[in-house]
Amino acid sequence: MVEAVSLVKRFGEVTAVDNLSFRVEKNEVLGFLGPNGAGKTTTMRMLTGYFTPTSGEVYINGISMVENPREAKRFIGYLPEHPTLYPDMRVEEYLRFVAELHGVKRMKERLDYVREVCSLSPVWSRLISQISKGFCQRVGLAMAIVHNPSVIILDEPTIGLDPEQIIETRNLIKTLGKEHSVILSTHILSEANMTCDRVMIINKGRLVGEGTPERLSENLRKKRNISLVVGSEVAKTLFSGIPVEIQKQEKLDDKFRLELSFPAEEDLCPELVRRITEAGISLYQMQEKKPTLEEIFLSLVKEAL
Amino acid sequence: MRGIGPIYKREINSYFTSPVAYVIITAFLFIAGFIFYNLLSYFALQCIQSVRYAQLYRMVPPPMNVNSWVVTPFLQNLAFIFLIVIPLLTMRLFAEEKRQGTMEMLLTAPISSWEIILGKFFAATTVFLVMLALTFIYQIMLIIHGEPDIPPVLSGYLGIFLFGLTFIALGMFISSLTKNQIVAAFVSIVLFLFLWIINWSSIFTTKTAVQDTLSYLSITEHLREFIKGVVDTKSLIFFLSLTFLGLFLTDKSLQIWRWKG
Repeated sequence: MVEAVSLVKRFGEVTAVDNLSFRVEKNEVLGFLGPNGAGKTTTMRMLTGYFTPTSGEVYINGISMVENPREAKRFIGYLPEHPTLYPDMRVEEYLRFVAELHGVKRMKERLDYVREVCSLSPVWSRLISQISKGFCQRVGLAMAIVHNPSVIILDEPTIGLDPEQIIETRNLIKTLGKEHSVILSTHILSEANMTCDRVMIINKGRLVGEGTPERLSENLRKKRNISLVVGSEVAKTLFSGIPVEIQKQEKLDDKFRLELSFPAEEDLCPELVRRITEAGISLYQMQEKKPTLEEIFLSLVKEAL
Repeated sequence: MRGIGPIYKREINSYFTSPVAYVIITAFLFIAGFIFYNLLSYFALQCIQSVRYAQLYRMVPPPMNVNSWVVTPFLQNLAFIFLIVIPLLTMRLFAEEKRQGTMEMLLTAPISSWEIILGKFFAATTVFLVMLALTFIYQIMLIIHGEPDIPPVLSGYLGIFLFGLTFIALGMFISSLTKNQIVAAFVSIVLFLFLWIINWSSIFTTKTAVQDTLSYLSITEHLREFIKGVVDTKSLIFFLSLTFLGLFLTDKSLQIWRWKG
């Protein structure tokens, strides 16, 4: 369980994080979403005790990071933004070192576990300076979970990975989220959509939106967009009296694609269907276009400006 | 204090799996050996000459003291070499962690900054002790083949050991201020040289208070006492308190790093 209370971090004149408060429960995956320079990394660095907050408090399982950092850090596994590792160490040696710093008891068992889960066998006894970026990222992930922490904090965990590794890592994060509190940051929206139970959108150090990916899209749907495939062209007059706009009409081979939008307050779908069929037009497809997280994100970030 | 062990082990490995320690130790032994060889040869020459003069003038040959001809100048030169070598040992301790970004891992591990500092301090001290111990072979050779006064040899070595601790702690502090190893080494050498010559300007003042302060701050004067064979608590406290100051400032420097990033 992680709790942040009015976190503020200033670097001289610049306020990197401005009054952020949030809670992450056990078995929850929270995503920090925001453009580059939004304050995601600074926030994570305060959560992990790397940076001392200018003001505010961080509690890890109820223990204050500011007052009792040594205890609080025991519960945290952290993958930094660029998992900078010692180039002169071997992968196994490095993970053993990290585990020793965390006072891991069953060393062999834990090392075998991360070797398996992060698929590190091919590079297990290679020098870190000689392994690829993707493997470095996975060593970083292994370092974050080797001591079986209850809170896992991952700063852009899938950066530098190839598509297959990205999928593996996302699955791993989901699995970890079942037993741990996970906080991850990303600027890839689809990733947040896929892996997170809850998303916090941060811009310029402030919280601009929060909720489950679905809820976020619900809230932002001021207009609903419906896409139809019909048998013949539709005249504008067909929808007179109801607030429906025809956004686009295009001819497919022998059918027509129609894009409509109407305000979200009233559900006009049954009415649409009734009018179309009564006009003798055959209806082949009807589909609602949900806004992607990208669109929500952009509109939120723009609003905040 | 659980963290000291792993940090120490990693540092030692890093010194000895890279060429760093070997290059430094080899170069150091080359210079130290060269100095010892020359001092000893010169001493031998002087002995032969004084015997010849004595025979020529039908006198008893004057006593030749191996301590003052070999041991004392050797230890003084040794200290000066360490003044240059120790910054090479300490320059990477924190500067490299900052440059690589591994500092983030260390500072988010459940260990206190003192554990990191002491682990690194002990590791650099170990390499320093290896070098110092290897030069002790020369003294053993003197003891086997000559009759040096042993207590000043031992107190001289104690003095150089304390001197080394002081410079390691201060060098580590300077390394914690920058990301650049070269800058760390250079600033350390300049600071150590300054401490070495700080009492030179005492001749320009007649105020005894200023003179006393400058000579108390002078590393050389304290070291000279040890090499002479005098173990003075004042000098002992001087070295140990400077060492502690270096460690303390390193801790403060890490705290500032947490604030400023």
